[in-house]
Amino acid sequence: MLQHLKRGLHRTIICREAVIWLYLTNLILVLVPTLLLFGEIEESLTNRVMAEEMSKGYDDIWFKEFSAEAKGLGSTFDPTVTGIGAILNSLDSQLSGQLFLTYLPIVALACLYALFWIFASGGLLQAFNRNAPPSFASFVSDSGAFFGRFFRITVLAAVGYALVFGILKPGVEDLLAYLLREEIDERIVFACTLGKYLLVALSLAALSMLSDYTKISTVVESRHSILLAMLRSLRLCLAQFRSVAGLYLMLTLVGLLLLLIYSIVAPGASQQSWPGVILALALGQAYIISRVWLRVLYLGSQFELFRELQNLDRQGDGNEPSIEKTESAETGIIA
Amino acid sequence: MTDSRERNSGGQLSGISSVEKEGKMEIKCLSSVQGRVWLLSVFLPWIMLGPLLATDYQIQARLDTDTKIIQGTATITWINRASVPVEDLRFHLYYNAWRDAQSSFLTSNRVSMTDFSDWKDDEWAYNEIDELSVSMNGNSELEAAENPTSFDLTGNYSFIQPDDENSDDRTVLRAVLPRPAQPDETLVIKVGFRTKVPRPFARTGYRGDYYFLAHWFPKLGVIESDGNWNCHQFIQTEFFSDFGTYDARLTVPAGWIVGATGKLVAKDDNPDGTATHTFHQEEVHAFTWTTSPHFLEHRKRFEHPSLPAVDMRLLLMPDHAGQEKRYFRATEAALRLYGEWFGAYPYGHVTVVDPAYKSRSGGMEYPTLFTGGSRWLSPEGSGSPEGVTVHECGHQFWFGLVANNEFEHAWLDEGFNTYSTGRVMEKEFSPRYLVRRYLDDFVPVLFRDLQQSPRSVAGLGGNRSELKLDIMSKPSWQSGPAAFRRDVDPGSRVYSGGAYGVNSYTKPAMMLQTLERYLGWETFQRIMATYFERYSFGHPGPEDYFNTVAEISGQDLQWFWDETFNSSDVFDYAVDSVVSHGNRKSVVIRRWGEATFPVQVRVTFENGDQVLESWDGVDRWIRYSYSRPEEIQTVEVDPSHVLALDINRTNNTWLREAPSALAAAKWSFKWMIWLQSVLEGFAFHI
Repeated sequence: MLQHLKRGLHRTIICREAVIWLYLTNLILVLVPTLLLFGEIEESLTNRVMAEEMSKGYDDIWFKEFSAEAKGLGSTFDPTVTGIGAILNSLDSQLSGQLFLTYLPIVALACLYALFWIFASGGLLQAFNRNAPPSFASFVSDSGAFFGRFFRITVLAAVGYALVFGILKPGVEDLLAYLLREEIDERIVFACTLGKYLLVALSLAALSMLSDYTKISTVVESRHSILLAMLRSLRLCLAQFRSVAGLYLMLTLVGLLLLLIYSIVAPGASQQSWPGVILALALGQAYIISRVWLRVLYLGSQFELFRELQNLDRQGDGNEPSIEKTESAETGIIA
Repeated sequence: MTDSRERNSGGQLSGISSVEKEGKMEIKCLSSVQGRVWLLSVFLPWIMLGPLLATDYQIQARLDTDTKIIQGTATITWINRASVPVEDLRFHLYYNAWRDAQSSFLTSNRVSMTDFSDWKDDEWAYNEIDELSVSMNGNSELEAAENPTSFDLTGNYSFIQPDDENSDDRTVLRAVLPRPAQPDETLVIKVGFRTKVPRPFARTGYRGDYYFLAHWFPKLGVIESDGNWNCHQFIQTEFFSDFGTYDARLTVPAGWIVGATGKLVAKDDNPDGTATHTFHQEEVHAFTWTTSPHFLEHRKRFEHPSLPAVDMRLLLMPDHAGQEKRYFRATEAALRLYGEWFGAYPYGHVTVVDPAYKSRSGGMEYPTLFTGGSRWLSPEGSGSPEGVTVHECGHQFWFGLVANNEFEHAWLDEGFNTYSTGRVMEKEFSPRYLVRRYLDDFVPVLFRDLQQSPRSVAGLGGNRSELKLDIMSKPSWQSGPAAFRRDVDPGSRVYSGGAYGVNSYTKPAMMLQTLERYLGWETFQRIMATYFERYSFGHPGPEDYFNTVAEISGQDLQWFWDETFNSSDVFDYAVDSVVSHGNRKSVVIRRWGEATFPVQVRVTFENGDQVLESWDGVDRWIRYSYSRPEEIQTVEVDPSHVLALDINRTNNTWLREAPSALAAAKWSFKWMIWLQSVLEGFAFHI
């Protein structure tokens, strides 16, 4: 699995420009709302002594007064976005399903970003497939070629996520509420809650894996039927569960390591000067870049694993019908 | 501090053995000179006026943990303290508030958003009267001996609704006496009752084998001097009762720990696998208890050079085993600082109950017993369990001793106590930090960069939308209704809980804080101490407090009460503009709120010179002009923060070169990283 990770890393280096473009897309999308919030906060603090408090640290009287009047984007501002809180807040809402219930314009923005990712995934995977840095034109062309199929895969995945957050999670919660109705020890309830979130996380991981391998299958095996691609990836995930799950776990550990590192270096609220603010911003951006890179690494490593398993599959079952092109497992060059 | 089981005798006030004779109390023994002085000062009015005690209870109760039913009898000795004959008795049957969904409690605006249709059988409760009789024996032992008269009132009663017209509400029972009770006549009332314990609701009930039993037995209302009963329906979770002596024999499964109002005077094991715990307490106005086999019991003694010692007993749930010291420290802080500021806690013992998880019994006060509240993971610096412990222990003073009518004037104890809690928290538990909980609120992260205001309530900025819902002087049980926040959500699903919270807690706390700063702490402390001394073991109303303030401060503050207590107007003073033309400088201060208050304005020039202006704050605006070359550096309205009631402190200041762009950039960039992470969260699902 380390080999896949290593080769996946190589793939991400090939596509480093795409990583940067995806990051820049993220950055550009959030700039306007950030400027709007900047305007709201600045207006509240213009010529006010509390501006000093808020620039030196934090003033909770100001925050209460600001939030009492805030509407729109301002209502989503919460001082716990400082330090690691910004990441924890979003991860917590992602795991609990609240992410989709965030302030509507933000959800719309996030959906737009997701569309960019759907679009870019085709270009990324085709670049992995060719094992060569894509030109801008070929990247866009490949992305466009797969966009329709990937969009349909995302829709199917969305149905899965809806089942997780609409049925599985509430169902488990109802069950736990029933089983723990008389429980008075918080530690036991917490343990069960961890179990619930583990189940949710595993379900999300399974859906994510299935979605990723379906896309990989679509590109590598030039599939036009996403249902067949999904069945193919499902078969692969089940047949090679240890490898697939092990790689996913390893990638997740990489993600947790990044989170840990950021939690150590994440700046709190103590910046009192422009250089300090810029440095804090830069550290945050470094983490966001690492998140984009990690997502690409997921695709790259899983791509490597798929290719290897595809070869094994072909050796074991020479009648694999859908592989029209073959590739050297060593070089990754299309023959 | 020990882990030993309680086996003690006596239940009198700390250091005193008191005997009531012909309406006077004889103090036999005191623990210290200071204690003597204090106790004399507290009880002097009581000695002079005669005892206010009107209702004594002898209760026997057996808890059946299988059926969740308490079978009990109460023998109530009641003295008619009215100056006129009384024709009936009125009892509170609080648990009938959860008898069905038609009760006034459940149909009230505060909880009407809740759907009760899926409630299971064990979630409901009731108080049933099986037997009711009264002995009316006249005014003296001689009359009683000559004329022993007992009347069976079983079935001869009805449910009444003095506060609303909801005929389905059964929280007040009226029993007509066979003949009017004469002034000062003593009645002995026997009540046989059955109480079905609910799932936790309004801080009482059971969860698993944890029981918290508050307001669980038939309890007499309070007779006013004019002969009218003050016996409100149970609509809000606030209470009002006479002081009296409680003797309770509580039978629970053997091996279970029991905590209750008063002191344990006996514990007897029964042959049927149960044990009977006997508690005794004088001069309290409620009896509450809790039982569970899981409690960890800890003890510690509070000692102070000038205050009576207090034996603290902590009943801790196992998942909070590590929080023993924090509970004790908070309780000691409250006993010490309330004692030093207002007056001593006289009972000599207090039981602190750490409520079970999700038992919904946390954060509530009862005489000599209160519940704290904590979480398994609760980092130091979060203020939990310290804040709630200080607050509920503080209620021993404001409500336990100075026992205002919570039904009508909850602010007199909740507001007083919120103010007092804030002072203790500022002095003893600062700094506190913002905590955010993750994974269904289980995992806390404490943000050391986000220091909270030292006071538990630091301003009214977050309460703007509630402040105008009602006036403070409206009786608490009538406050509300809930206000639909159509400005927030046109679909009306977002709603404010009504005016009860802000008018009982936040606004009065800020009102007292304003008064403290306006009059100065020394004067204000004397006011509070005098009020405490004068009305301990009494039932003061708002006018009693206002009169005390006027008397001690020597000021007529009716204008202040009119602006606060009798009005829903808000205070908001602001620096409106600062203009500079050469040597001419001018500052305009505005009053945006409707309420008025005298404020100071401090103008600081760039060379450090300061000018302090005083404004009566009545006009809508005032302009101050200066002819000097230096630029104005800062302008501050109310620079000493006297007017804690100001709803917008941000606009109270003007700073020539405020780093607003830096502050806005810093915080919006942090928010941006959150937003980017949200976007990445979506991308993960792609």
